[in-house]
Amino acid sequence: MSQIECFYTSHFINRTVIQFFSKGLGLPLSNLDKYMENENIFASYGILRGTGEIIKKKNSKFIYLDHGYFNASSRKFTKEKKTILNNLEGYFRVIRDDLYFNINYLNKKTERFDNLQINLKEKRKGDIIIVSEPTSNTLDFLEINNWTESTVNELKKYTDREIIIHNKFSEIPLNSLLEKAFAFVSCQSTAGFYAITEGVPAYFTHKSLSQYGNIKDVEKNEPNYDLLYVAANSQWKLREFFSDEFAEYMNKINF
Amino acid sequence: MSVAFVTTINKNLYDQYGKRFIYEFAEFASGKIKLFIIFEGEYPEEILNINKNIIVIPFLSQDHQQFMKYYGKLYEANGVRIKTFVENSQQKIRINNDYRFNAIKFSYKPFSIHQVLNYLPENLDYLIWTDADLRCKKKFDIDSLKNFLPSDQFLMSYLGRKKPWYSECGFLIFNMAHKDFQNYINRVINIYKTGEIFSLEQWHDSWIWDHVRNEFEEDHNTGFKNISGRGYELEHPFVNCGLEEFFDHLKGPSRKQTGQSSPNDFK
Repeated sequence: MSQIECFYTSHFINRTVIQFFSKGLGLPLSNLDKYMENENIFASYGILRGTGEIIKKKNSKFIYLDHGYFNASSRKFTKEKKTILNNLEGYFRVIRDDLYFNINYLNKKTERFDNLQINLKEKRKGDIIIVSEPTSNTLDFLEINNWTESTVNELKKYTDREIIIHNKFSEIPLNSLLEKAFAFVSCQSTAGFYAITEGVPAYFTHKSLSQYGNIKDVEKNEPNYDLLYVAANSQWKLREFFSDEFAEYMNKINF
Repeated sequence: MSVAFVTTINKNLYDQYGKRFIYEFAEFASGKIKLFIIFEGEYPEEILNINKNIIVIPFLSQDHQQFMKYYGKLYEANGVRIKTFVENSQQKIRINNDYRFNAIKFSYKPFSIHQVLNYLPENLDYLIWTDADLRCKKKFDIDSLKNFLPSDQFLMSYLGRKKPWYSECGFLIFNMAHKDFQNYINRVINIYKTGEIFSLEQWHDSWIWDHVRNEFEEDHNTGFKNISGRGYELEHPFVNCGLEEFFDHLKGPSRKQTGQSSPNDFK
């Protein structure tokens, strides 16, 4: 197994999260400005302040941490497009060689999901299709700046339902839209996971997730609960980084 | 058995004495004992790499933010005392600062303990609160602390002092597995959040810890372990209870200035 090296940026969330990760596992921790290209596995949080460029360049051999799929730390998104974090007590996803999903660790055991005590709602009988736009950072990072237009065009090949564009700064809350939704479409959004729990089938365009919901199947209208279980097995609280269970998980994804 | 320490500091206190404590902890504590630092404001980068058992967390308590929003700007809650008196037949006002009524200054500690509970390893047995003006004098491990840990029947170990003093709460050891532990912490936090603190005789945290301890002793028959030993009769029990073998606590400005307790403190 290659050595994992952890790197932090100047941002306090990145620093704190990656610090817990490195100290939980006893891994070396350095400032990103000390990073040198090598065969080791790069680990950091988020795609800003230089981490994204390194991840892109490496293509594989990296561990990516970001907010979890469910019960993430409480955040507020302001009209000024700022994110205010209330705490770091929620779940963080820990992903190998992708930013969104552990394609090589498909653990469908339900225990961790069940522990979240999320009530899976019955399938909605709505009509609209919500298209959830990625953030501008994600659009730039994935180099998909015409994602909304191309996704809507692609969707129209498979459905003639009303399509509503939504993003995290939209004034209409997502919950209101989900109440009348037939399907939820995004590139890779964790809101897609939430949509499934709310009884709205979710579809993705990003390659690691589209196997669990491809927009070609949008009219099939089948929520994929396996996706929830796999996701719950890939997200952890900071305190859990000190646990044997997390060390075992790291051994499994760090193939 | 697992033990972790927690403390809280800001940049000013870090520069004054917190940094020295953290480096000494890194040098003298067994690697199995973690120190969690709840840092108010932006923490210095150097803390990240002092040692693997030292973990820094930003102070993000929403409950404390609410407390500060309600009471933070009140002069009285910051220890300002106003007294009127008559001198030479003239009505006069005296304004002074009294730490015993500085609810704000001493609020960071209970809220830091409350916050850190969500970041600690889930199997942690004992959590030790220490003020950051602690000195570590020699190597210590869990065995070194065994005599001071609260056994199963006790919720907390504390440094009790004979009245009229309140307990010396710069060092508290919580039994995380005790059935009343979470309720005890929640009750302390509730006293702050609801403003009940201002109905009490004094408003600093030591008074509150004692007040809630008395409540739990009387109402729930909860056990607490007084570890002061012969220090119970003294103003500075910390250095007279056995802990002085491993630590020194720089209570008050003069001890902080000299970097050690005075020879007169050791009885």
